[in-house]
Amino acid sequence: MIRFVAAAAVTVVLLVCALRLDDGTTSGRVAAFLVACGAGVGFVLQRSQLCFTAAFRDVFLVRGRRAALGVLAALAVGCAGYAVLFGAQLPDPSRYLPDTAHIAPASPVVLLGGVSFGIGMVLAGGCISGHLFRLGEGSLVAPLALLGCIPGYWLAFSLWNVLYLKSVSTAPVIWLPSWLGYAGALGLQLAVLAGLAALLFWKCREVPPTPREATDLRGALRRIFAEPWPAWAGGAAVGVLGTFAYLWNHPLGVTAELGRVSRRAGLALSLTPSRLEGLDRLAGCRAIASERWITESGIFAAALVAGSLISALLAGEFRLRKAKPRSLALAAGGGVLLGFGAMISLGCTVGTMLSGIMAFSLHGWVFLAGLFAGAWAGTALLRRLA
Amino acid sequence: MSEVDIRGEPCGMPVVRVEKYLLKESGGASFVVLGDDATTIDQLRLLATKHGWSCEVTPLGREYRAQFRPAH
Repeated sequence: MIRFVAAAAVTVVLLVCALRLDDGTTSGRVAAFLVACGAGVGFVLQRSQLCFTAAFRDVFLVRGRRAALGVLAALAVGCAGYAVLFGAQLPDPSRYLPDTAHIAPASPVVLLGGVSFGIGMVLAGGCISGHLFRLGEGSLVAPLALLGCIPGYWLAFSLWNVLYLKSVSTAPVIWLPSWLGYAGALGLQLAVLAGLAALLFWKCREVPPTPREATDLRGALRRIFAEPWPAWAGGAAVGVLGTFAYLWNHPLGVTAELGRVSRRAGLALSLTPSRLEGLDRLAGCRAIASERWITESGIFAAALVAGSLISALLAGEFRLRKAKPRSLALAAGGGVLLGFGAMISLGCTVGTMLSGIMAFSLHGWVFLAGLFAGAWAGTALLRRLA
Repeated sequence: MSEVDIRGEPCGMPVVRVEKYLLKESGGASFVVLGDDATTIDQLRLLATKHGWSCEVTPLGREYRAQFRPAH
């Protein structure tokens, strides 16, 4: 009973926050929308246990395909949704780029960031969005992994100007619709995603589903609020939410606030350069040194944690989860690699991979390739450390 | 019967530890895994299948006990 009251209380707090933020201005309405969208994403991720880390790691570790199919579903639904929105906004894709979408240079730096992020997420037991939704489940490892990201950001800030001038600034921004049109780009991406899904069905396995209750009202409610959703359903829901977020000109992304906090802390401690070349001109989850106490990205991330908390409370899955010292050390160390990768790639599995690929930007695919290589290396490293 | 305690470890490491035990230390004999993270259960089942073993999971409140047996 207590958990239902607690879930209701968190829901009320979210509603009050959304209503307070919606002050009638455009930015107020966007902030209120991001509360709803973040809570929705957190709820869906927790309910479906859609873990981006597992999507890559389990392929190598146990030949599991569940999470990977969920991510592919998110990408397929999201890119179809983005194609519709882009078509309405920019009928001729050969002339302009949609400036609010996460479309960025496809440079080797993004690949390096993906590798770093991939190793980090395997060692830390989750990526940044994963740790945010685990935080809502009561994970005591997640705060350490997220704090570990900060020195990773500092390291990336100190290298950024060299990386930008040597590579990012000259790398091409490749937006597939400008070459292939919307239908061609959508067709190509769906074909690649279908090919990856076929590969997963061929090479990997899925745990047999457990028998379920009859579909009466009680059983239906249990399926929604207490039992784990199929990963593909969670992925499809994330794809729909990602499309709605872009409709409000805010592609999904969770790292901009973490980057902003890291940058301000680094500036205060004189650990990071005062000027980061070209960052303001790039699209993605940029670490902007804004003086606001919280940004839209922070609102979204906080709502994501709250949405996961509501879901975990309703399902009876919230509890403080203790961790062994080795797990805490791995989380902190992995967090450094997560922060480094997220900064130089302008986002993480959500902001760069999901929102980049949904927006038909080649850099999202480059990041995905880096994640794949990093997850392989991370899994090999984890086996050595065990 | 020997036990592998994976409680208090986040995703990834528990499966690696159980795989290491299964391949290098079990000597092909059945063993029990004690865990507390439900998200790991499916991974343990897949791990057992990957190596031709069976894995039977019994819930124990918020924790669980997974019995690993060689298939033959």
